[in-house]
Amino acid sequence: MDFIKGIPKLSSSISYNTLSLTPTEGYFLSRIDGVSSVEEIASLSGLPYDQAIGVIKSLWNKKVFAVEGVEQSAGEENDVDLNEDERYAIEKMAKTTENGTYYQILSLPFDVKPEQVKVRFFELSKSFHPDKYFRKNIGRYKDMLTMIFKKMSEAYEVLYDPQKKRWYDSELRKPKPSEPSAAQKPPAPKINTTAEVIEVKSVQKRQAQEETNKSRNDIDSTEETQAYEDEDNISESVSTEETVEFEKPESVDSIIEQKIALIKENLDKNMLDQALKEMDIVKNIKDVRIPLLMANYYLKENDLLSAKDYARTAVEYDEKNIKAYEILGSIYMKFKLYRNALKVYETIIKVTPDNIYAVKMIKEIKLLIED
Amino acid sequence: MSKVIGIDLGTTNSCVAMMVNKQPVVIPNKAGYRITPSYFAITKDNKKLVGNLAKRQAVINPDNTVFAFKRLIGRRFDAPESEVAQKNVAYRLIKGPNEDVRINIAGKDYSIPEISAMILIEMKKVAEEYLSEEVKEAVITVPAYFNDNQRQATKDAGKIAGLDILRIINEPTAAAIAYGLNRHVDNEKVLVYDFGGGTFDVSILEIHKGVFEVISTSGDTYLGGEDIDNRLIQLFLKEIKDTINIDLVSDRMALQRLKEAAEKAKIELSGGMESMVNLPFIAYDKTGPRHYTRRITRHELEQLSVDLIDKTIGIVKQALENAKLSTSDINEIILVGGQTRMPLLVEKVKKFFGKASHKGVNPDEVVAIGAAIDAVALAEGSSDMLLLDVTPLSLGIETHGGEFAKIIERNTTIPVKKSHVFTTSYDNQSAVRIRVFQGESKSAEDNELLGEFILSGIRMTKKGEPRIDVSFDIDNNGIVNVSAVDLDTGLENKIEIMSSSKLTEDEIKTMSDEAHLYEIDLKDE
Repeated sequence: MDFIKGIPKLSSSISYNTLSLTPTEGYFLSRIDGVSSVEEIASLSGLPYDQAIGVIKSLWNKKVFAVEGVEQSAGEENDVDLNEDERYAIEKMAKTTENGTYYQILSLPFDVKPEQVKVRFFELSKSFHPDKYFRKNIGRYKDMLTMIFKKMSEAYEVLYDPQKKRWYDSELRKPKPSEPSAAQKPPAPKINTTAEVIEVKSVQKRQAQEETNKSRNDIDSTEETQAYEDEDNISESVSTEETVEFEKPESVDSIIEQKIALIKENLDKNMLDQALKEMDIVKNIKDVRIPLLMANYYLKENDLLSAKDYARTAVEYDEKNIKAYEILGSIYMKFKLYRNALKVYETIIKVTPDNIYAVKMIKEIKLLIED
Repeated sequence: MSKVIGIDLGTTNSCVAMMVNKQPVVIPNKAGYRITPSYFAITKDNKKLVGNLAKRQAVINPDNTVFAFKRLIGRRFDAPESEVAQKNVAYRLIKGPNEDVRINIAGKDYSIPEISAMILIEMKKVAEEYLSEEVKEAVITVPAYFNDNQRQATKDAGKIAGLDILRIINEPTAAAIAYGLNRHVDNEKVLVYDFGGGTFDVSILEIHKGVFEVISTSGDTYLGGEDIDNRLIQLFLKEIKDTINIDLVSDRMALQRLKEAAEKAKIELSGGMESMVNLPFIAYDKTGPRHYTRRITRHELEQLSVDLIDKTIGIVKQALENAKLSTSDINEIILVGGQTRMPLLVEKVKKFFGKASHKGVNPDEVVAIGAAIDAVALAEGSSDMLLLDVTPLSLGIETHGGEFAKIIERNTTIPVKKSHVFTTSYDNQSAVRIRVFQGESKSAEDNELLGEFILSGIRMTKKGEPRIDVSFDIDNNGIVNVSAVDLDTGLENKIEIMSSSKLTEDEIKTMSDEAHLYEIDLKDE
């Protein structure tokens, strides 16, 4: 079933009203233009390639589009047994775990106590442990859940242990090198994986010996040279860490004000990333302006998927924020997810009953749905 | 949806339970007993017997009656455990085609998973008769100390028995799950003291609104109720030798009788203050048949076994230390295993903790009940209960000088992925052998070898320069994948850890067919 090289075309028989798609799927749906190949769509989507292909596959399985010359066998990969909320929650969490700090992953404030870390970890486990869907067919979501859970327990392990937490905090505070290094920049400092160098027993000689010598006791070859020991960097960083004075965040408000001023002045990606990090540190203070700025930024960059995520975050922070709803609504319109858009505009009406724009949009959408 | 069951596959006894209308039910076997002896036998006329029947004829047919085989599951024939086991049983152990230990009875070789499957089939049958419908899926419990080879072999046994094993869980964890049922347990620490027939386990768990987290497990795989039986047997043997000058140590038939008499006396002494041991015709000499009769008191038994019980308390202390807890941090103590009915033991535990253990669970049944609860939670995707499973033993690889480098520490929550960077120990070394071990010893060879593979094609350079990233990945079913990547060249090699008993799919299929024939035989009767 190699439809990946092919050019997808929207199926004419499909009625979008009866389809149940996630926003992500909606986004990909909106990318199908009859010109780009599946491969191109995936690589230009802004999502990791494999994940993008996964979404397109799920659209393919829902028979949303056809690819010339590729037969669509019936029930190739059945729909996953997850409702939209579950899928959305998993996808959102997967994204957070992929790039987020341990604080973001567990959505905890910087000054969290060990007991709170544990309680949150247990709570989240109930939603994201792969066992929750043990017998269900959840397709690629299985791998996502496994990845999420591994990261979650990593975060738990570090934040629960005061010493590891201190080390991690100091790593977070280290200034990032301004230019991207050769290696992919790690999303968060990793504990325990980087620099320990231990020797693996040589097998060179042994391999040769084994051909002739079948005895069970050829475990050690005698020519082994003296051991090479590399001082491991981890203990070093732990010990220096003791001397790093714990920087107390200035007033939370002033950080936010500074950041917002900066972002407004100069809307650029690095600044936003930085702001996001800072935001995370003071996440318990939910200032709606930052996700709104983010959403606007991504709208401008035409990364609708990210824009939508931030708009949703903004709505989470402030459920009466008209700006956030308007952004969300316009994105849904672009995705042609009319029902979702309708809901959004109806919410706007609830908050501000005389919003003319929303009234107009609702009329328009209703017409579109009738079509 | 077909019913799922929980099976406690014990060293001496097994038990099966299921959930009916959200309540756990322990299912009695045909003879009416709620526990079934883990015995398998082949009679002189080539009939296969399982459970009560097999145990009842064990005295007259010691060579062809198999029991306590759980101690051998997942073991190699050359392992010290096999050697020790052979000293304690009348049946004959032999080396299997894959270095695994097998049992030769009635002229045929049986693998341990195959014999375990006989018990599982029996338990499956008990459940099916109760339900009048087929049972296909089960959760099986194993001691917390079982390594991956032993767990894998237990899974193989399930396959041979025609059961889909949803999960292998630890016995103490199952006990805690049973304790947590229908109880709003929030932020409690529970200690499970499991003195089984063959093994002693202690686990500390934290229960938080339906989430079970294992904090620490310790134990002794060679400390169980049977050791107390053996103390009595040794006493009887010595007295017989002293009074009638006959050494029965090598008389298998006499040993079986002594073993049963010891077990019976031990059980009676949990309820009463004294018991009679009556073994007529135990021996024969010039004067004719000799008998052995003796009155034994609870005090005598306690004197014989007090050091074993003190040993368990020592292990409990260790478990608490590992978890950085004190006795006052423990909210509940759950006693598991028939041996915990012994008054001295109950007293010692109470004295140690300064409070009595939890009442209201049957120590013989609690593990099977917990397995049944977990089976249903898994099968139905319960949102109320989640078991956070951990690695029972540390995992790592052998490094220079035979040292064991741990990569995943014991009691780490799974699924998990961890990695370390290693290097070479020779100049121009082009290959490394990755040998994967499991255990707590600093010397790799003292731990259990799980598997090995070679990463070759390493860039030839000075020793210490290549960077080889070895990563361990355990999924939620406990399946371990190990991979090694040369970070400079990107070359990769990996293995999925398989049981060292190394039953192939074909072997399992053949064994399953044979076991199935036996099942059909039973139905025809």
